[in-house]
Amino acid sequence: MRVRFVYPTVFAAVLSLYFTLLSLQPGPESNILGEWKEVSWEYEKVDSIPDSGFDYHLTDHIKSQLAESLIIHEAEVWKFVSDERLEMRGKSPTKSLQWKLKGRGNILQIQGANSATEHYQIQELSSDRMVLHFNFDMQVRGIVKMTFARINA
Amino acid sequence: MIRKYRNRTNRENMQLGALTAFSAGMVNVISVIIFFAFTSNVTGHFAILAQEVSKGNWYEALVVFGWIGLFFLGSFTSNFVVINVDKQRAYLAHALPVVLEIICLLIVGTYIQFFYKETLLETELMVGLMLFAMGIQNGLTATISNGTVKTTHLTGLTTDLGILVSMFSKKEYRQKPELQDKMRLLLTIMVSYIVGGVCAGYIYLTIAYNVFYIVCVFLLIVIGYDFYHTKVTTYLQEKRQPYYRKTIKDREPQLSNQ
Repeated sequence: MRVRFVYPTVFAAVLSLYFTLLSLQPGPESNILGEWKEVSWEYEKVDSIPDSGFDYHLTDHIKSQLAESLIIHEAEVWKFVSDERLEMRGKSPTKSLQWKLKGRGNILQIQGANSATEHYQIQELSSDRMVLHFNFDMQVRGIVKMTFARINA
Repeated sequence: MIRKYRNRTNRENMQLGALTAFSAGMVNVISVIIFFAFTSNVTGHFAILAQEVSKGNWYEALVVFGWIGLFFLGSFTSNFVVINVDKQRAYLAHALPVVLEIICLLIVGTYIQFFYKETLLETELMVGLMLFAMGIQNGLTATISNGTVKTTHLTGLTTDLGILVSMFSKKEYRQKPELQDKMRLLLTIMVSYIVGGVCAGYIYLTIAYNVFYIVCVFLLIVIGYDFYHTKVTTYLQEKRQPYYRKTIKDREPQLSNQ
């Protein structure tokens, strides 16, 4: 009799607490909305560190070479709009793409024209800073860390 | 295959292990491809939970906590059904969790095929449902095999395999039939899981979301096998009984002492 009472009570209590806490937290889908400016492109990880003075920043030349085959090519300002539209402004004309979040909100999927899709790992997403990791295997092998600063919400 | 109401043989454990591990491997790979989240194991989710808490990402931490909770709930449900359904209906008790798992996977497959808009909420719910299904499967296989067969994750299995291989370096252990049986069982589960994952990766490229229906077919084989061996065989024996009786009746009585 006691068990019949305890089990449903504990389940109900845990569920109520869980959904209450969940409803109080802003999700990553709302956190990401707004305009973000690219601050830096760096190597997050490399196969081996040549020497202690290794510069982790990617030069503009390497960056442009890497980005050539990417949807995000030469974009400097990323604007995430609530209807899953992503506007990219930069040296090239403004592009309108589609964005979606996957996993637990840690994967950013960007879909361009002709259904090309790219995935970026959201390493950090706060009110003023966003860090994306992008894994590629082209001229240089490693993970690229892209850091953004929020321009406006 | 899923019966516990008499002593299980190693062959039955291997059959159960092979089919369910194959299904789990498929589900796990397909969930990573579509949702970018693992759904057949929770060890990684515990690590992610700790990581998200340490970063202060409370929403993500709660989502992962919910997923772990659903895996737990799946295991709870399957064992709850097994121990609470009338012992006279043992087949039903063991088949019901598999039916629940099939329903969960059918819901996921159908939803993805017809309604999925790729929103984060949908992704989180689908992953949760798949973790619930895998919790059911793991709970059931562990319950009916007395903890011998666990097919949705390979951490414990790899540990056991390492221990067994080291034991086999001594002749006295190498010759023990029960250890040989265990080795066969572990290898069967491991290979089936990997093959399931590889198959899912390959066939996803051609048949996309229909992979879920294939997993359901494998699970139907699991419950169909026992249905055949318990219900159909018993039914056929009962049907044949009048014939035997009649044959015996028509014969001349023979005295054994003659």
